[in-house]
Amino acid sequence: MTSATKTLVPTIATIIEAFDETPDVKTFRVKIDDEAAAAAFKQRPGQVAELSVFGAGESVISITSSPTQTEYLEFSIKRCGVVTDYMHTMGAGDKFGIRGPYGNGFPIESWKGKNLIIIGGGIGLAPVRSVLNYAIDNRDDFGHITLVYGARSPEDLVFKWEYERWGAVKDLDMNITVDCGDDKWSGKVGFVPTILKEVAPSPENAIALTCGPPIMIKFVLQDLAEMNFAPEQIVTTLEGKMQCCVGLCGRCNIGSLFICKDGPVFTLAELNSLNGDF
Amino acid sequence: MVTKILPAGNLQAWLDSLVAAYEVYAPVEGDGASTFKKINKGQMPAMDIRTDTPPKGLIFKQVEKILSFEVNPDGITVIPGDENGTKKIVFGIRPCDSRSFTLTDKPFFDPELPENQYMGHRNASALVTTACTSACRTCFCTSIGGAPDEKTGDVWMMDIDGKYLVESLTGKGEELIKANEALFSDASADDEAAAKRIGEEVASSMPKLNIADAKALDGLFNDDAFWQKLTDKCLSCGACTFVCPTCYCFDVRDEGNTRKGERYRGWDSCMFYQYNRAAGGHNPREFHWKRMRQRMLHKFSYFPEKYGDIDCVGCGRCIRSCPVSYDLRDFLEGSLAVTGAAPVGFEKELSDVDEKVRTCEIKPADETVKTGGL
Repeated sequence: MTSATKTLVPTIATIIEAFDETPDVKTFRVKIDDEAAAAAFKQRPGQVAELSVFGAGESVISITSSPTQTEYLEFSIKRCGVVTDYMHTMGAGDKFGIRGPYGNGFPIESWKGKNLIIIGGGIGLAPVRSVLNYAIDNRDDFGHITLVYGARSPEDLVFKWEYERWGAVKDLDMNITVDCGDDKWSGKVGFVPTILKEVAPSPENAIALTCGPPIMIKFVLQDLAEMNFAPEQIVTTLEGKMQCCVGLCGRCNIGSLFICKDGPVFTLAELNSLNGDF
Repeated sequence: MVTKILPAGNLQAWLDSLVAAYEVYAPVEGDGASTFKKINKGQMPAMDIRTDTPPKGLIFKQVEKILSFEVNPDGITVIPGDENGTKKIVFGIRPCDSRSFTLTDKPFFDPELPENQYMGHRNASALVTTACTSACRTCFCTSIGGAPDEKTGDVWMMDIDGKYLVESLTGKGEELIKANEALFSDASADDEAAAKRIGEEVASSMPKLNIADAKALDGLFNDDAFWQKLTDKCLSCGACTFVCPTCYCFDVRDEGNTRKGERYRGWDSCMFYQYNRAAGGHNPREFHWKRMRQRMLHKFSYFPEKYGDIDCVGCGRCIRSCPVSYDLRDFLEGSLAVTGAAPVGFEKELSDVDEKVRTCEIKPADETVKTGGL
């Protein structure tokens, strides 16, 4: 947690490494400069941070690294606005403002011994990757892991540099797909929901996590329901316009809950019980 | 706590003494709009007007500097904005406006993530509340749990026929009276009875609306036609939110360049298209009726659900300042009819007063009150 007495004031972090994932997604590894602030920044998988480019503004970005990675924090950022455009011009040695971590994160403690089905689309893999790597680093705490991940094209797949490592993990079934392949692509071709149906994971003792574009989520939810996943077993992490990230500025609410503070992680059962604008 | 009488002739002397020690803000007639302004020695505030803009901005600043930053060879220097508010008195604030701060306190005094700058201004301020001895046609404080003579703030006072009954409600308020004790005389039981009577008279002159409870209103969420009809004439101008004493949405913006500049938080409005537009273009509230639904349900459903109180004080400013005469009371009454829900019913409904009050004689001071667009 950033200093409790200065809620909206970030601390400074330095980029130690930055590299392109795709033509419009760049991953940043950052370290918080101040030792006390760095030690106080203890995130759970699925939490978010408010990153600043001073002079451009702030953006809420999910922390894609697992808390088991203590050397640095990772953020994989898609270029799609004023702040993120600027971020894409930055590299090692440049400095961000950072405050957080914020939000509820995934209830991983309650998932011990369960099978995890992780379903991601596009940059939507970033927030759930924190769970994937957490589960890999605590492999014995979890059951079978199924990953279904897809992007528009091979060049739009993020975290390609992780696939080899993930593929070598025991009891991890990796399914990477693209909407459209190219000459070099020899993997699966098809939309994420289609591949999910092929994989047909069992709902027994399982949790399904999903994050991706709204249209993908819509079909994934339908398919999971067909596979007899209960709404309590389906977990997603929401995106929305967030400004302050501390539940004050007003805009990211779903009913009486704020995505930034009470979310971003919700079960489908929780979302079903809320009236809200999505 | 003390209860005293301040002869009307001593009001200026009391104010002057306060002005000497504090920044004092009070209702002042202005060009175009009346508002709370810093008053000087010898200046009598416009005690009988209802200001067009609320005193909200004295504590929840319209623009507040969160930090300034500068890039230097060693890194980035960040200097947080000031968190120590200037000691000030908000004098002549009406019970509804005074109550509004107790509502905004709830989210801003969050135990885990407090908004320190708001807290700084709030803690440095003393509120001297002036009870209402008449109601405007747009007032509905009694319908949302308030009262024209509600004892809220640090000092409470009421004009009882040429003199003021003044009561301290907090230690902070007591200081303001004690430091000027010579100006006050003791209050009698008769004085207090007179104040009570005036309060009751004003309250009974006001129409009483029933309001559906938070759950029932949330149940209206999916009735698109209801919201579309309600929002038909709305221009999304946001005037209602800027004159609202309880609206507290804000935006955060950086000024300057990436080498040197400042970051500010400033009032925002949920009625604006940009309010919910995310990077990439997705906008869950792209239509104005969805934004109206957000504004109404935040005040009357989400906030009560979370904090127990309706986030509206019944000041009626949104009704008076709306360029197309949208009346919040239409929503309250309409929603009750549609939901068929049990009303919250703070007090028993008064018989046939509605007609009487809506056409009541307007006192000269009330003539400045604009009725939607006229």
